[in-house]
Amino acid sequence: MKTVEVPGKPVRALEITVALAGRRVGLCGFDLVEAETISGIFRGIRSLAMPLDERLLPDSAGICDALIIKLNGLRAEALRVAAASHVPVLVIGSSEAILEGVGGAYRWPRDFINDPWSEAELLVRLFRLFESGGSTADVGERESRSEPLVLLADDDSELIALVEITLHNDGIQCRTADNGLAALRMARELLPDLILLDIRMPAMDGFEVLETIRRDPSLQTIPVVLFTGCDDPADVMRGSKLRADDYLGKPVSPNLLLNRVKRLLSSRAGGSRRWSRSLPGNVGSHERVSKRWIASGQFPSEAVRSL
Amino acid sequence: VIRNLLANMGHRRESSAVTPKPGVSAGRRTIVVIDDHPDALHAMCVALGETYRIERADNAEAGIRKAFDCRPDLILVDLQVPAADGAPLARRLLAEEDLIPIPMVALTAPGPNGEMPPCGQFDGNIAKPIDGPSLPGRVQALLEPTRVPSGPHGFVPPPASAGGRREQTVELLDAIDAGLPDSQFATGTRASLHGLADVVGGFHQYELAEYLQQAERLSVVPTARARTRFQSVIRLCRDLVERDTEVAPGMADLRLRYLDHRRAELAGLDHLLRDGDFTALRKAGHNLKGTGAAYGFSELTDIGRAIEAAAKNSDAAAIEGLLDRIEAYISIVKPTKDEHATGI
Repeated sequence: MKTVEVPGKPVRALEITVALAGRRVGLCGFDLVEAETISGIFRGIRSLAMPLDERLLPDSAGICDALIIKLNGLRAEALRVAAASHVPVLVIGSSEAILEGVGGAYRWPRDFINDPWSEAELLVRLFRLFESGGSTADVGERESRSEPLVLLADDDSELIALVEITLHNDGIQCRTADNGLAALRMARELLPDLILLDIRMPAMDGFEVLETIRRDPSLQTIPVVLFTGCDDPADVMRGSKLRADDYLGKPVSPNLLLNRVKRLLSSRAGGSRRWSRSLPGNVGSHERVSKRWIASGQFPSEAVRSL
Repeated sequence: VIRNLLANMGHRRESSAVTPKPGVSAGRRTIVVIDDHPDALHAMCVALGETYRIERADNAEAGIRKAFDCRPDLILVDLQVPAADGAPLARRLLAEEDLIPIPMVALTAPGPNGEMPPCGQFDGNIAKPIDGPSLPGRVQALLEPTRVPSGPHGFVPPPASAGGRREQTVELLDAIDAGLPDSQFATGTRASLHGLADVVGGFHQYELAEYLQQAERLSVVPTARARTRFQSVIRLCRDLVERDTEVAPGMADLRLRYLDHRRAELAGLDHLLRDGDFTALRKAGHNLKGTGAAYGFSELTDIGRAIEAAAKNSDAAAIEGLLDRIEAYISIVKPTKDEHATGI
């Protein structure tokens, strides 16, 4: 079919990796072997898939970004809870089970896969659920953002708390991510006005995140400050080569941090777009960028590469 | 009103400091010995019993209780005594503010070549097994007053009155820093700290005033812990002076929470040390280095840097001493909310 063109694969693979990175997915109704298989797939794309006890589903569903449930053997009560959940739900089961059991009972965003399922289909359908669930920032909403938004990526909760209160006290919104992949996903969703990026982070380090940001047309003009406790001058050089806008060594005084952030924000706000940075016209070039990224061999998951 | 308040705070703190109990040390001096080995306890009683009143404890809890009850003139402590709550006994003793004026001596085993480990925050160490005949002489020397107001920095001048509060404070801190360790006891140090505490307290800078008062109290205490603390407090004063931003709303609470987390983290770091997990210790040191000064505690950044380096070399002894320093440091830091949210 025309729609499954080879050039389209890398685009989809990149988008899926970034969209699913750092997500927490709850698994319900799977046997141990199958749950472990799915957990392995999600580990490969730096996400977390965790089996949930169906009796605890009302509480545990709330901490997940999505649910994957298997109909066979799941009790009616658990099914009802999953159906009422506000997170995206992916249902796996035989055609008969889906039609008989739950056909019209699910609100959007929901999707179904026939058993037996494949890794690629699982990831693609989950990705589509996230995309359709409105997780990406709305362009109009970004345009109307009255306060500047800073995205902080750091795995140290103490530093996060300090930066959050420092920026908040000055009327600057701050969103945080505790690993590189989650930061990339949030950057794509939120299009922040500035990114503060730690270098040593789990899942994906700051350099990799910065490199990806600079290659992504929708993100590449966002100012990025490398924010790190490493004293190695080579880090500064590398950050400079990757076109970091500034470099702050830890520990940094809150005052100095605030001054740098405000300076970079005000330089961005000088244009016609004020704080907002939406660049809808650039989305089409995503394909070209992702091809380069994949060609560099930095793709984390065989499962996604095979899409 | 503020001056009276500060004066009362100072009075209350001074009154809580250790003073010898009447009747206890009026005759013989008292020594608390904490050692869980009966033979060692017996040997020390035999060697010192004729000259001193000996209070013995064979576990950490009893030792700390005796130290508070007896108000001894000296504490001898075996560092290997296990503590009930898992925290090393030495750390708990070293961090007790009320015991700071009492000299504390570690009983330690020498290294393979007979060398003694560094004393750290102790006033000295005595080798185990105990050498009975030489012990009274060592103890006698440790009980002698150790005043050191001499040398080229024997005098710390009062700050020049022409400058503002910031200039006066910087001038005094510079003079003290330049003359350390002698300047702790130098003529003029106490009076200058007292005067400056009054001035900054009058401008609602309670946190700085509190630290200046702490330094003033420590400037007359000749123990090793007092010396370490004095330097930490002077550094805290400098941290406050150099914090060139206003105290943001919510920051005082955040700083308190940060210190609580560091205190809670110590037990976990002890476990990592016991398990020999130097990778995790290095990461913890790295994080401490990256956040301490950002919260206004530059000494914690230095300690974190040292932990990171020691973990890289798998140096467990050095890390243990650094964890002791964290506990002692946390016990002296008391962030307070300045009324007008101002730096200096």
